[in-house]
Amino acid sequence: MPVDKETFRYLFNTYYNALCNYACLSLGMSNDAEDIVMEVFAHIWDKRDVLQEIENPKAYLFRSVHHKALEKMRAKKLVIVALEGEKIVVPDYKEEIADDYLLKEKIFQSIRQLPTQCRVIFVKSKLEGMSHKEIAHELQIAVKTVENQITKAFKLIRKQIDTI
Amino acid sequence: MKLRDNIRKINESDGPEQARLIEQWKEEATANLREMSKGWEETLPMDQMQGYKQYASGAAFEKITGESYQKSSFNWKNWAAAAIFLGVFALAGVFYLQKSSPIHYAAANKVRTEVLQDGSIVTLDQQTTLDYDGERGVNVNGRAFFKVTKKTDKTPFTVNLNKGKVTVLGTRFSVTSIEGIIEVAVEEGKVKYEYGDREVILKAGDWMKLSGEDIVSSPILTQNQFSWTNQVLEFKNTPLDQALLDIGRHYHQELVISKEIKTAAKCLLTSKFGGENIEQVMDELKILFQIQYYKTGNRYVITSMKC
Repeated sequence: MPVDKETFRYLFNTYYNALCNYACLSLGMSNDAEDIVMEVFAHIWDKRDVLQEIENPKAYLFRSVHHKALEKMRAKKLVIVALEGEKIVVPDYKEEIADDYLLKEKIFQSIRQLPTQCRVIFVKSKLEGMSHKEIAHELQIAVKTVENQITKAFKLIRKQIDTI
Repeated sequence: MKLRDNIRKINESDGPEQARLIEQWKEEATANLREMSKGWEETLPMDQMQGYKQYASGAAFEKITGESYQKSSFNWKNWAAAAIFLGVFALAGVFYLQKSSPIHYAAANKVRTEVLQDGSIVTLDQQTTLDYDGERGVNVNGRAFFKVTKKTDKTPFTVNLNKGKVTVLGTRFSVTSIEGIIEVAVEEGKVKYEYGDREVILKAGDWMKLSGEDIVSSPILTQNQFSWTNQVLEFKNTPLDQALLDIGRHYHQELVISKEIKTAAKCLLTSKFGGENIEQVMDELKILFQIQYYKTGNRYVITSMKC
């Protein structure tokens, strides 16, 4: 059965952003991450009439992005070299990594839906790594408020993730 | 386990020992509680979230599918919004999808730039009017610089002048049509000028002028050919006779040197003018070359200079 438009939309909504982040953070394709993922989805879209139903979309998509990233590196004669001249091998596709990114995506989307102040504080604390004291100082609020907002954020995120 | 053990111990003992145990139990319970609530948070890979971001997925979706992106297509609110949007759009479409209507542009005392419906960009000099047919044709009176976008079906773009017309596919060029004198200068690409049964092909760097019934053409010799479009007139060791031509073109004036002066080509000008008016430019030339001139109409006649 071919991939219909609704399925495509579903796959896109569920995986696109997670895959971009996977390509960027895990495979180190910071500039090409988006291009690679777009190529993968464009391929599915173009071939949707002849494509067999994708049985395991998660594995299919993450693997495709993984292969495309390797191709890109080869095409660019790019060998990832650490500072000491040691080769870094791109990790193989593993289901755990994919799951990890899907969970991150869920968290990230939940964070995006937090109330403004709550989100700002949470992002500063958890994504930017600032201490409670630094945040309190920057936003001119009490440390206690920072703590409360972070607790509140965790509660809301948990609620969100449970409903997704 | 600990809790149950403690409770059993409390039952087995009395007195101060019991009180101490209750106290201990309370402390442990609070610690347990704290640990329990912390546990869930620790399962989130928050420490690995750094650098995670939102990519422009809507734009990507539309690029891939050519269809509009709606996050959750089964939400009635979105459907309602879409319905309203489509309604408005359909209404707008009634106006937009009609055969494109002609537009009249006029630049009075300011150079202005317009984007035409076909994507071409046109800069109009002061005192210039342009009539656009809504597709690939314009009429120009005055001076205009075009950046014409090429159509995939190769429909040419036509500039009708009061004498003759210019046709192009996609290129950058300027036309002047003032009082029966036509000038065309090409910055990039190729254009065709037709007048009566005569035809001139101009390539990048070519210039031509129709004066009376004569057509003269030459390469563009000055970097200031299109200076009026950005208002910057720049000279670097430019012979003064050339510089005066440039200044004249820039300000729609005629600067002539009386025949007795033979030195103009030897005087070199290095200067840059931005938003000055022509009087300010002439003042600077007075200081640099001690020029003397008189003015009649649009004509400045220079009678003496030194360098």
